[in-house]
Amino acid sequence: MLKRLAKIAIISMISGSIMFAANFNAQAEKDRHAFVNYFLKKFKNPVKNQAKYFPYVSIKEIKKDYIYPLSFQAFQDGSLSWYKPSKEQFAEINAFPPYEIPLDDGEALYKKPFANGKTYSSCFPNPAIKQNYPYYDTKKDEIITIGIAVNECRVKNGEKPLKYGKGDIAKVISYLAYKSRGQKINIKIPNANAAKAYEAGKKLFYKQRGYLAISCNECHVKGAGKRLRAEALSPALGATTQMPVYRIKWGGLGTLQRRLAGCVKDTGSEKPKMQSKPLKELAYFLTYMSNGMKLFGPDTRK
Amino acid sequence: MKKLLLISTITVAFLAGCAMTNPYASNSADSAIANAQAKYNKAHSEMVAWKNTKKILNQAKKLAKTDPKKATALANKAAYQAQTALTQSAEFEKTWRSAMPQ
Repeated sequence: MLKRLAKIAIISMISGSIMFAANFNAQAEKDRHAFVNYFLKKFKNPVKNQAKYFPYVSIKEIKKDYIYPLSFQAFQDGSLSWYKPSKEQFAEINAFPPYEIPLDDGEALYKKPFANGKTYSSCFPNPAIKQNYPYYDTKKDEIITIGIAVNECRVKNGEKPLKYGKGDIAKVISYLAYKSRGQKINIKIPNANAAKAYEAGKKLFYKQRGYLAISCNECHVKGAGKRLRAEALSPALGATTQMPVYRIKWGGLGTLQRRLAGCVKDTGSEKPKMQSKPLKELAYFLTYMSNGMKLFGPDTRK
Repeated sequence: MKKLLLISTITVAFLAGCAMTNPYASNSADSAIANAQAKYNKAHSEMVAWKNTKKILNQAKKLAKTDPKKATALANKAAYQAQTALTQSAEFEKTWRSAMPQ
């Protein structure tokens, strides 16, 4: 009898925790569906929806320069997904991709032994891992980005951590990203604190800030598919699939954190520090929004 | 005519005074810097500080002894920016959810 009672208690505890766990991402899933549907609807027929979504673009320009309808996966290409002139220009640039040399460097760094004789493969035996980052570490109670994971691996092996944002860390991540190409983004929200972190990232994305009083949303959701002078604004959906990115503006590779920090600064706000809590939360939210999309990093952008 | 001229002069002087007055301003350089620092710290801790505020505040600190008048003006500018950032953040706190795709 006692055994039976204990069995029932264990089963109900497990099923209870599964039900509870399933609820942590309920709001995030609702947000994600609305987010994805917004972009699919917006780019289904821009000519028909011109008045609603593209009021400052002429029908003539849409017919001439826009690519549509866009599939879910097409958004991996950022602004190249919808803007024909950029797509053509970057197709030519990517005939000899500028990220190839730093990518080769990344592979060499991945394989180069540390002072203790081990390599990065001691931490990442299968380098195709980028689809799971950033993830919420329930033991440490914080978001772990791929940059942090790389540096943790170095410290574990007696090496100094790398400086975040660009340089060697971007090269190593680009190799991991390259090996993860084709993998689908799979971000999870495992507990209540992870859900809180997701919500904080969401707020940072949608809340206006800086002396320009604009948000990420203004340019990369509402503004996606429009132009700011010569710039074709990229959609936030799929924005993390192409990272790290070789930007012509930077003349080199940069990580997602670098790109996000730059974007926050462009609103007229103080630039957040690399791997700071808000920046990690923003990356967590943004990557979750592209769940299910195949990775295609590194890539080239303006 | 004299009366009208007097009233106009007073009105213009009053409006000019209003336009030039910064409600977050302090008179002495030290108190202005302390005031700006406190406001900046609050804006910074809430992650809403503007990108030039710290730079302006640091300039004010540098000039505090050599040019207190300019230092006060700069500190008041920094205080104004930090306070505006806090005020706008409180406003946007009420509305950001409405920007989400439904």
